[in-house]
Amino acid sequence: MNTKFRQYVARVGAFVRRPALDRDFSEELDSHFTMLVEDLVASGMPLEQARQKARLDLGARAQLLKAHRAARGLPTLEMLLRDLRRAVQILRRHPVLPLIAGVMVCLSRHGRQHRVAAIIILFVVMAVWCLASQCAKGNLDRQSVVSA
Amino acid sequence: MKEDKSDILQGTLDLMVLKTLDAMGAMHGYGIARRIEQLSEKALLVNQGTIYLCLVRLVQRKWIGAAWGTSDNNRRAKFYSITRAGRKQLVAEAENWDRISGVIGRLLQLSSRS
Repeated sequence: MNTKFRQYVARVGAFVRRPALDRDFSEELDSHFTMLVEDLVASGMPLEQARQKARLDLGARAQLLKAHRAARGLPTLEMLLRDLRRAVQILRRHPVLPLIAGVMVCLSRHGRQHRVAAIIILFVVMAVWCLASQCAKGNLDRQSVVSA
Repeated sequence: MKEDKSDILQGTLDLMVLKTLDAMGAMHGYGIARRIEQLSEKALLVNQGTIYLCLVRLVQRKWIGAAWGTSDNNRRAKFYSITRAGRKQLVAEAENWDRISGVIGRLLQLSSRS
């Protein structure tokens, strides 16, 4: 229990100090790589071949960095933050969609009957706009749009 | 806090790292990886870089400590050494391992007779 708690505190700390720890681990991999190449060269291997073998033996750097981050930090929170950032980016690139969604929510909150018509019209406009933009991108062919 | 590899493999690797550092003193990640490759015939490490995933976990549990230093060949490297909590853990893990291997040994003997 004590160990678990200590590790959790360490994980939160590692999450906060991510850039510094990434740099530290990167340096450690550099040092590992250098020593491995030196040993291979000392055993008689040509330098270029030794570098190639060392890269294989050590493993892909990007993957190791990612796995190290997950092993020491809070991978679920990191993934959530990355998804949120991506969602905000996409919505900023296509502001019409959140705008229409916002208008629809506002209208439905007031709940008057004649506003249902407005909501339906907006929905149809949005649906057509979505399909049209997908069609323009070539994700859908015209046939499936018509049948939809 | 899901762990990728199976718990048994992970536990075996933890035990080997603790035992190695206990027997040989402070070592850098490269040295530990090479030692474990020799002992396990590459069964435990996908590649040498994987050792650092184990090391960072053990550091977070305060079973080992880490500090930058200089190697015999005058290379800058991060050195790991076992802590007092790590030695205690090693004793507990070794006893646990003995008990389990005893049970499995008896079980296998039993099935080969019948």
